Amino acid sequence: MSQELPASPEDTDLVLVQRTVAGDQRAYGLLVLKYQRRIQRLIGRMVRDVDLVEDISQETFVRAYRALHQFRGDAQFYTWLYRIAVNTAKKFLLELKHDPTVSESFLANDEEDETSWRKNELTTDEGPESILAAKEIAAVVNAAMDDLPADLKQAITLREIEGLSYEEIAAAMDCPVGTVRSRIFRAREAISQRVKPLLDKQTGKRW
Amino acid sequence: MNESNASSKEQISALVDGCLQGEACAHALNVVLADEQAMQTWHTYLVVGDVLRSSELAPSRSDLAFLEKLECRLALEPQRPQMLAADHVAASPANVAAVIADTSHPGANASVFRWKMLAASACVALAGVVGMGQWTQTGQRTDAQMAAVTQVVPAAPPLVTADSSVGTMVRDPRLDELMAAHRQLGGHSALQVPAGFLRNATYEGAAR
Amino acid sequence: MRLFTRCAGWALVWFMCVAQAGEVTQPVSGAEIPLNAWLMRVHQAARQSVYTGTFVVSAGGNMASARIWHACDGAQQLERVETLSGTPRAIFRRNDQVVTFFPASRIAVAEVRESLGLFPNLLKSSDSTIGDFYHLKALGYERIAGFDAEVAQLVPVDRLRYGYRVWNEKKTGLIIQLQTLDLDGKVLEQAAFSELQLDAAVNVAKLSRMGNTEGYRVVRPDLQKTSADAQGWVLHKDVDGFRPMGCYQRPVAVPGGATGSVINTMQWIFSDGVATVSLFVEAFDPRRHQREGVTDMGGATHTLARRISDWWVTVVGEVPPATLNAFAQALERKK
Repeated sequence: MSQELPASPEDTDLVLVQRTVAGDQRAYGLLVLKYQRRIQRLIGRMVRDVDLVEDISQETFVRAYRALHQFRGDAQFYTWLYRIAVNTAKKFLLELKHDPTVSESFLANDEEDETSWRKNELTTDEGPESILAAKEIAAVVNAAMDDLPADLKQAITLREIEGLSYEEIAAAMDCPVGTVRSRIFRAREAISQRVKPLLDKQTGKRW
Repeated sequence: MNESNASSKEQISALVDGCLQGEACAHALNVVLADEQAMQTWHTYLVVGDVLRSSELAPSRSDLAFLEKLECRLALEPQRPQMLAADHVAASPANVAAVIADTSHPGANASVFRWKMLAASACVALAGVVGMGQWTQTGQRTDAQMAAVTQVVPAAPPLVTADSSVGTMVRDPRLDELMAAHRQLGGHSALQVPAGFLRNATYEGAAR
Repeated sequence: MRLFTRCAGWALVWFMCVAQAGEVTQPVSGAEIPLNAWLMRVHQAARQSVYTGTFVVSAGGNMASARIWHACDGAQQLERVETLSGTPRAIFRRNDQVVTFFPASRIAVAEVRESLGLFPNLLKSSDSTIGDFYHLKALGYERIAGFDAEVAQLVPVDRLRYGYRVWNEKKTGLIIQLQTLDLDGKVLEQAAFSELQLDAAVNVAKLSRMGNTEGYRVVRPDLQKTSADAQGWVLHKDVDGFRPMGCYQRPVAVPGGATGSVINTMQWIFSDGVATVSLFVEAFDPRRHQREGVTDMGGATHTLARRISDWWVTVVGEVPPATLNAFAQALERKK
């Protein structure tokens, strides 16, 4: 099947979906690695218990996998995945509500709006190690950012936080696109070098 | 960080930003899919981006463990025989292979989750009632599962295409043989007559 | 006035039939129905009714259909099935003896299907446990294929098996429609009479003659009865509800091999009384055995393939893939 020339991260998503549907299950793993944190945060706003959040997240990705052949690519993949996550969580919550053995503390309020987030709500039921691990990662990323040379820091900020394209960043920083690409890469790599050991520690082994 | 390593990582960086096109994109994806280190780089770059946008997105548990657990479950998801569009009815095995096969790339013939063999024990621990179902591919083969049957087995018959109102289904003749055997001997059902027996009788394949 | 009397007359006959058919009457919708009695009634109906009709099986967008004639001649059950789709063939059954005719090649495959004789015994035996794994719920009434039918749902108690929705003809209990439901309650496959004539005038003598194999080359599949134990296999952990029903050594044709080329395969059969699982074991061959994992065969049937050292195991059944996996994980060589 012919592929559209991707010009945005969303198009890369579509390529990964197409590969998965064509039979390459590994391509789906890349989508999972990309979106699992956002999905878990979303579900963490509806459900307190962290194990349950993980279960519902797992279920979300399984359902999305099954329905992948229905994804047309006319909308963004994350939007499509988001809806599946919300529906999956709702279904779980409905079942939990009818289960007399489940205590109220499992359930958060019925808020699904991603924009009205409550800071650190998710971490109230995490063990202290996990909370620390997440905080450490965030701290290291921010520290690494601060240590970056100004041009690298600006390039990656415009890309990751402002969401500008390479062309737009090139215009903003008055430099060629190739330089933008190189700066973003070097910034990423510098931050990654400091974050990697922490991620490895979480996994318990090197990949 | 040596030269080729750096340039490969820079490709991955561009991939994350969706700035690779066509062949370059396909190639970069192939590299990430085939190489553990490359996939780790993809993952780390994405974590960095997420955390820059919101510290809430810093992972509190291992993302890899989550993925491994998911893969155990996905290994049990049924693979459907590939459906071709109705107007491809006259497809020869060669055409079928062309339609289904992915573009050939370095990782294609490698064991799919070779590096996840390490996680085999983790899979057992994570699995509950379901048990471990590791998805592996043994031997040299492309992603064209059905086509591989005809490529490897000498003088294979053409792939059996079933009548279908929806499209032409490409079937594995070996599995059809076993299904027929299962239906023949396995009707131990309370619902066997008339429904079960008739169902089996109506289904019975052409492979006899 | 006359019409009313006639209807009343039929109503009286109907009540008498129901009374004779058995102790089972349909309770209030949603209530649980005693399973074993219901199963016996369904089974009796299938054996004793005389009917013809068109049967349609549909699964995942595919459909297959056949014409059916069934009659009961004293203790003998006679049945003929003529396919209307796929390869033309006709199946003739006398009790548990089944002959499949392939008119194109003039080959007739004759076999004995043990399972067809087993069921009433299965149920009567004191350790029948079907009711431990399925519950039966009344759902109400519906008109289908021109008949009034009772609708019931066979609900599995766990996620190791599928559920079913059954439509029984009210008078006789004959199954008119059967749906297999997945774990979310979606219909996986449906088997039903699109049209049915009960108490049709089926010529038993004529039906019986249809089993004549003259002009056909008769082939009997080479089936050796054996035991898993004798073959060196054991399940180290039972799969809930499934009991072994028999084990056979049989030749299975090799696709793509020379004509007549076969592989000796062990088939070990399990059932929970409603669903069946076959464990096929053959010697591992890297040229033919390429892909481990689950395949959806369309409808409720799935297969799962797995390598166990020098062996290749394929599990086949009308059950969720997780159940196939439980079997595959439990199978091991005897120590």
